[in-house]
Amino acid sequence: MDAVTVQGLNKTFKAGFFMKKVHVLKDVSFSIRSQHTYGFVGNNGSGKTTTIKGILQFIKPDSGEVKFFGEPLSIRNKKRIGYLPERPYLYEFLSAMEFLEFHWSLTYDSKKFFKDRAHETLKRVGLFDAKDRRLRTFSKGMLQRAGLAQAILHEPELLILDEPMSGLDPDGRILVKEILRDQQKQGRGIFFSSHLLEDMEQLCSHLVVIHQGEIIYQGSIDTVMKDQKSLEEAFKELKLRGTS
Amino acid sequence: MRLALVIGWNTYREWMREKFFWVAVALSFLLLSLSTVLGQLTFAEEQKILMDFGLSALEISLLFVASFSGAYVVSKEVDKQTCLLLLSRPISRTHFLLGKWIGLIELLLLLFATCSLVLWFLLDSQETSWFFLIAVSVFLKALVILSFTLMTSFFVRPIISLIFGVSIYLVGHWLSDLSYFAQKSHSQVYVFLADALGYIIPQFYRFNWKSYYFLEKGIDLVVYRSMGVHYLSWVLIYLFVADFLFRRKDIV
Repeated sequence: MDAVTVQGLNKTFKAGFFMKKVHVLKDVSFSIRSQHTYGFVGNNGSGKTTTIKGILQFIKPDSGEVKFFGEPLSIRNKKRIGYLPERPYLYEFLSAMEFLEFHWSLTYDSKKFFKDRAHETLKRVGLFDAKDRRLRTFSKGMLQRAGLAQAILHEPELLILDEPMSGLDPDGRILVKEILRDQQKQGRGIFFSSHLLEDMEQLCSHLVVIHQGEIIYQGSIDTVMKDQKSLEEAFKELKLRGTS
Repeated sequence: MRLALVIGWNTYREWMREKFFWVAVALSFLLLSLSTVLGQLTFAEEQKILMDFGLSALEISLLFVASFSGAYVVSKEVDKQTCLLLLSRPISRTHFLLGKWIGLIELLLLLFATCSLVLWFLLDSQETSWFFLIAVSVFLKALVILSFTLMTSFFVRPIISLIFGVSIYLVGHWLSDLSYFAQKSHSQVYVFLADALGYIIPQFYRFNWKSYYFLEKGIDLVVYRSMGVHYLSWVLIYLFVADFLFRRKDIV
């Protein structure tokens, strides 16, 4: 079953003094199968974040259709999704526990299982000892992990992560990768964007490649790597084919 | 409604932990102390001066918090993108907006309750019911300004929204004067403009009861009820438009 299907997504923005139209997403279509890990690759400014924002309806596409588990995005199926934005600006006046409690309250009526679940999640992301500290005292890596804790707290079927490893130190990246592997083992679908091809190679079974607002490849990572020494070379080749 | 209340509680906590709110509280108490001092300096009119200045102090404080928080509460979230995480949760944009609004009402209620109780003790007034009716009318004005600045923050920068909030408050109080001068000018254009303003701006001047005169004489309750309906209608209109704009806004 497809966790997400994106069909013909288009988005233009008006930019500059003369409000010139910039076509940011051009007929973007792809699908994400449940319980698989998809990497969303593209250069800076290629439209990765805009696509994710379009999928989650933070921006309104000019045209196109997005379905989650076969239905349009709704309050009901949002419960099945966990999301981490590119730069997780969080409510810094809250402590890590308060932050998770707030997000839990938005998903569930009862707080019955909250404490156990929150402790378990904070231990998993390595923030248990800092659970009562305000987020404003956290480093960038810790904030990223707190954001990730929020995304996995309610055990969603699909994780959508926008650059989950950007700006992290080597230890932070290792930890985030371990968490993602953990989520894979638990049968969660993962769709994450990155321009770190090494991470993609290690974590993903499938790739969606975007270049200048157009999807130039979607499919298995093994297929794209066929006849190529590395994902880097495969990516170069795809871009060449995409622009020609 | 539960979701809006959860967001409201979080918004209330957020603003309670902001320095801005405590500056506003300090300003309120400074103005109330000033009213007390002014009252004591006057000969035989202490109650009157205290009431007039005290309620003005309450109104200024509420206006300050309402216009500032209304202008920044959502725009700050959109600029810093903190709203993305929230909107990815099982809530709608209407829940989010309503929650933010409820949170600020809780904040205004706290300020209102504290200041009006302090003023009531200072006044040592026998006319409790009139005093609180007048104070509530001041609170309702703040509610209108809060909803207005919240709405305008969707299409202008927060600082402009803040200026709009203060402007609508002032123009709302000057409407009768503007109408009077328009009649005197004998210009049909000015008369039309003054009339038009009366329809598109809340008529704050009609319900300006923050003086000792009304505490002594009382207020016509029919007029009071019509004031309540007038203010709450504007609040609903502003919230409806704000929701309409927010549901269509791209959070880039």
